[in-house]
Amino acid sequence: MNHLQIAGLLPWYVNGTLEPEERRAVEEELASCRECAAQADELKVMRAAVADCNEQFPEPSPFLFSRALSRVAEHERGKAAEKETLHGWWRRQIPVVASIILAVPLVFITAFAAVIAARSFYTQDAVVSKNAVEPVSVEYVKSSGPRAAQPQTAPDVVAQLAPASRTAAQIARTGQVALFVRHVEPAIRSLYAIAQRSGGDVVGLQDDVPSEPAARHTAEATLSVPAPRFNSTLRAAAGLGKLISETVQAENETGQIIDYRARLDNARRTEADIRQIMDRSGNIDQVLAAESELSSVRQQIEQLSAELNDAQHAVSYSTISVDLSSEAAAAGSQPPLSAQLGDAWAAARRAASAVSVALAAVVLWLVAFAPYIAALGLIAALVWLARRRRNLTA
Amino acid sequence: MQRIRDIAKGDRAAFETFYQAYQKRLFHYLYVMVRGVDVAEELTNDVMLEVWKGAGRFRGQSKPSTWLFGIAHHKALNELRRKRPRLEPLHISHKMPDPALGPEAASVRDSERAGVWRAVSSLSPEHREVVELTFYHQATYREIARIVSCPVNTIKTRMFYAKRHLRTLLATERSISQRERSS
Repeated sequence: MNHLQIAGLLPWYVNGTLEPEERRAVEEELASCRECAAQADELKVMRAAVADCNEQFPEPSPFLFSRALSRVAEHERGKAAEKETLHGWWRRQIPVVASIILAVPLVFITAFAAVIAARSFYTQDAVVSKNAVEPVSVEYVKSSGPRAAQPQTAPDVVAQLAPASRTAAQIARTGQVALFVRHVEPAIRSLYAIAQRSGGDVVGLQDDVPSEPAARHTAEATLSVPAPRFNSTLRAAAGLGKLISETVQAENETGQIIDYRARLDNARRTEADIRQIMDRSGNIDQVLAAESELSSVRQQIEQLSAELNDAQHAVSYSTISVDLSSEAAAAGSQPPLSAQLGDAWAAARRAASAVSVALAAVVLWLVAFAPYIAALGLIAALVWLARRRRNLTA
Repeated sequence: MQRIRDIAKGDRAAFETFYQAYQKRLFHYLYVMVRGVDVAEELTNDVMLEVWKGAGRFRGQSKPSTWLFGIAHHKALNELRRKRPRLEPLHISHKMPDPALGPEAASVRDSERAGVWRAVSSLSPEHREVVELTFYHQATYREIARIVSCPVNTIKTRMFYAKRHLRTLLATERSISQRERSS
């Protein structure tokens, strides 16, 4: 340790806080260095003066400690209040959070159910309004031709059936049901709905509105539905009223279709042969005779094609005839109040059923999305809590 | 250390013992730093409240006094940054009147003490802090370095300059005092 280093230690030599080896080094230096000794003396005087000055400093207030205790108590109260406030805040949030947790799904469910119900009613209203413009007092046959009668609502069903019909047994089924219904008009509307749900249509309707109040109201409707939906459609139609009779007929069209095809192929080959004869022959009489024969064969081909189409359609689409008859004679143009209430009750049950299904669907959606909803709720709660804590701190 | 652990547990008796043990030294240190009684008292309680709140964070890596004066150092510097307290004259308390001194000698001594106070107060806060901690609080230079968060050599350098300024200031105060007495 050199002179300067030792000189730097002198203040702490004077206050007696040096380590033993530092102290020894300083003492050795002081014994040999007059300048350091003089500095040490000077520092002792300074130290004494500063210490003496400190001793004359004013005393702190005797109430200082009680003031400190007050501040400590205030601090503790603040901490407790903050904790209590936070706990209280959480307690207050429980109903809020619970309400949110319940309200959000309920809002979703209600909205979804309302949409489903609205769609259901809209569809029903569309059927009703469609029927309302149709004349019911005159005989009404929508179409008699097989091509026109083919419903346009299910071309895919025909496309699916066509290839299968070439290999499987070709069965053409028809059904007839006769029903007593309370009121014929709603039953007709229901038949339209049933036919459309089955992918078919009502292809014929004869509605005989009674001219006398004592007469029964009767109607006959013909439904054309895809063959696979035959049974379900028949059951649905039979459920519209009190069943009087039900007849189901099934005709195996396989042989006939094969026969039609064979005859068609034969006729086409004949047509081709006649063409060749016409090309080869130079005699005008023979050409005229061949021309006449060709015309006859072509007519035969068209007829066979039409019959084949009819047979195939009869296989692909089943026909159901529904005879409706009112249970009692019509008392007036307006259905009785009980009937209206019954209709309203039936509509309400259908709507309730639709809403129940929608509710169940929404619950399943909520269950599936529960982790996301929970994560969002947690983030929102944390942000809320952080803001609350910041406000409390402020 | 045990006392601070007790304070951390919320023991007010331990806090009172600690408070009474360090109150005077702490107040003197802060009084020298901020040069005002009211402010020094306020800061004393600020520091003690920090002790109450932060006792759990004290790990015993230094002496409790070093930790305490470290807090006080930051409080005092903050106060000085915020506003520069007005230098108050030394309030001589005559706590220990020396019966051997006559009234004239006592007056001379009071005058000398006031001169020392003015000289010490005239130093910069960093210099008077080192002087106060060394000469009154008997702090080692390592403890002072820890209190003010500076290297040891910085403390020695500060003491070197503080001593030089103080020598000049004290000499000036002595000559003024002598002139006043002779006149």
